[in-house]
Amino acid sequence: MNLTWHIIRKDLQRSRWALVCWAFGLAYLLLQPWAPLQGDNLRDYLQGAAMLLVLVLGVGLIADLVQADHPTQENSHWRALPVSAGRMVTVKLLLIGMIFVVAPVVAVCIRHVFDQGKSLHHASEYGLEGLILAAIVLSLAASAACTRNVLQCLLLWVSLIFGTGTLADFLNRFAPVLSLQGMARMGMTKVLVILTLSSTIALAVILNQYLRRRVVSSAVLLLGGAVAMATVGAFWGYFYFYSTQ
Amino acid sequence: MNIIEIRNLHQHYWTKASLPDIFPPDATMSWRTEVLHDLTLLVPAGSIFALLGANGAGKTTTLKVLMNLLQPSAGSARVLGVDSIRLGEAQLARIGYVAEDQKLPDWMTVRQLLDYCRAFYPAWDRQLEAKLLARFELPEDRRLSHLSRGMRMKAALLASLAYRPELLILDEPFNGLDPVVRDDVTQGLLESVRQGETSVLVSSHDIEEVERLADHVALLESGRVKVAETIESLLGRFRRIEVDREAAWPAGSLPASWLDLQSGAGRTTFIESAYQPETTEGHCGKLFPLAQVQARPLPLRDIIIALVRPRRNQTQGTNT
Repeated sequence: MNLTWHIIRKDLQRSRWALVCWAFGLAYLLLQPWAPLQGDNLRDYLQGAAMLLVLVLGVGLIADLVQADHPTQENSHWRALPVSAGRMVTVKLLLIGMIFVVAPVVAVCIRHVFDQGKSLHHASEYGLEGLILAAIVLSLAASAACTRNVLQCLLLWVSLIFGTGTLADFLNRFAPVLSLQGMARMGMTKVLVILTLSSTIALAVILNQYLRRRVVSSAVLLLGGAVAMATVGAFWGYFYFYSTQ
Repeated sequence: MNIIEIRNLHQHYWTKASLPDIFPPDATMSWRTEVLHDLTLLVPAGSIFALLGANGAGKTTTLKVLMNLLQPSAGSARVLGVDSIRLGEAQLARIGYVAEDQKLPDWMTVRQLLDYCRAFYPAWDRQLEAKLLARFELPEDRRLSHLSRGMRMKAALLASLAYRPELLILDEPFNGLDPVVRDDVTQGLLESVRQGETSVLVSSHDIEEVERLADHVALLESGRVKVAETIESLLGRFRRIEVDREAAWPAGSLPASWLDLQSGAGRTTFIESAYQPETTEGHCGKLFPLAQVQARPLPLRDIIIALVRPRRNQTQGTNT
């Protein structure tokens, strides 16, 4: 465990300034209702800038944290150190999970506590937020584990999202149109299934890259996962369609 | 006892190339390239073992397989008694690895690199670290990205020597280093190796440094071991033979152990790869009666060149 924290400390030290900027942007987004600013234009401008900062830095940081100790590059420094692939993948998942999933959800929770005191009444909301963030962060980390630099990672991630979206759009032509009753019955199930599926596939890709170093099977997993998500997205409603007929 | 045992190792990878213009623009063709063919090599514990060979001979691939950076296609490689694909943290803590193309964390200073690496090795010796730091004249507070290639190599070597590894694997450590830095690296290595019981496996093109450093050598050619023995025995069995003859060039076949045969008017030279005074002189006496035969020892460099570029008997039958 000491070595795990040792590597985490190294990563935090390496990315400290970018992390401070990212945290600053996130803090502004959370605290901006209380910011003593005059004028809606300035407030909107700062909010947009903070969102851009958080998004761009977030993507860059996730890719950089994974690629700093790349899972498959033979000349990565960590590969010559007595660090097992299992320990390294644990480090990376802990780090990005704590910073980009747990910390934002906790921050939102704290804000709500101070804002309206409603945190205890909407625990499931925080779970959903956590799941959404986990799906985004894990898919980015999976893209980073399959590419060599931040730009390639971003291109792969965007391509996967657009590819999945386009395929889902195409498949939707053949999907059932749910009645209001069916939609009410389905609720959040489809969203939860897609988020869980994407997180699981991304996690499988990351583990495959670190533990087995099989780039081809990781690529197959990513593509298969995208197709599976589009298919599930399009046809998940069948059960609710028939059950409400 | 062997610290490394490689048996029947095969390694291949897929090479891709674009197709000519008549095919669609993105079309590529891939084929299997064999890098290592049935490689068998034993590295005795306590030795300084040099892997030599031309570019593409398979030296780096062999070392990467040993470090589990590449998984072998077939065969086995055992390091410290463990199959290389099963090397764990306990074994890796006893191995030092420095490669020419290794990516160091450039954002760290030399001090930060040492602090970072120290935590992984229970056997890290702070006194040896300080001694090597002084010997290599490394600036502790300078970032690795601001160091020259030679200094970076020294920093990597320091981080791999300070815990007195049982096995040190070095991939082209002398490439691109100036003579002074090269000497520093060699001396630092020799000092550390003499003090402990470190075995060293080093791949290099720098035959002069290898001759200073190593006691065993293996020559790889196209992924196969061509020669593997002690340097002493290699230097002992190779001689440049000079024959001053009056007779014409003899007909018939020459001994297979004669390499790099060159013949001019009245003088023939070749490299005898299985030198034994009586046998070699006996062969020469039969082929060139009354000739004067001189045998001179060869430096390792000439031996390796003769092995890599054999021109055996090429002049046979063309000269008189």
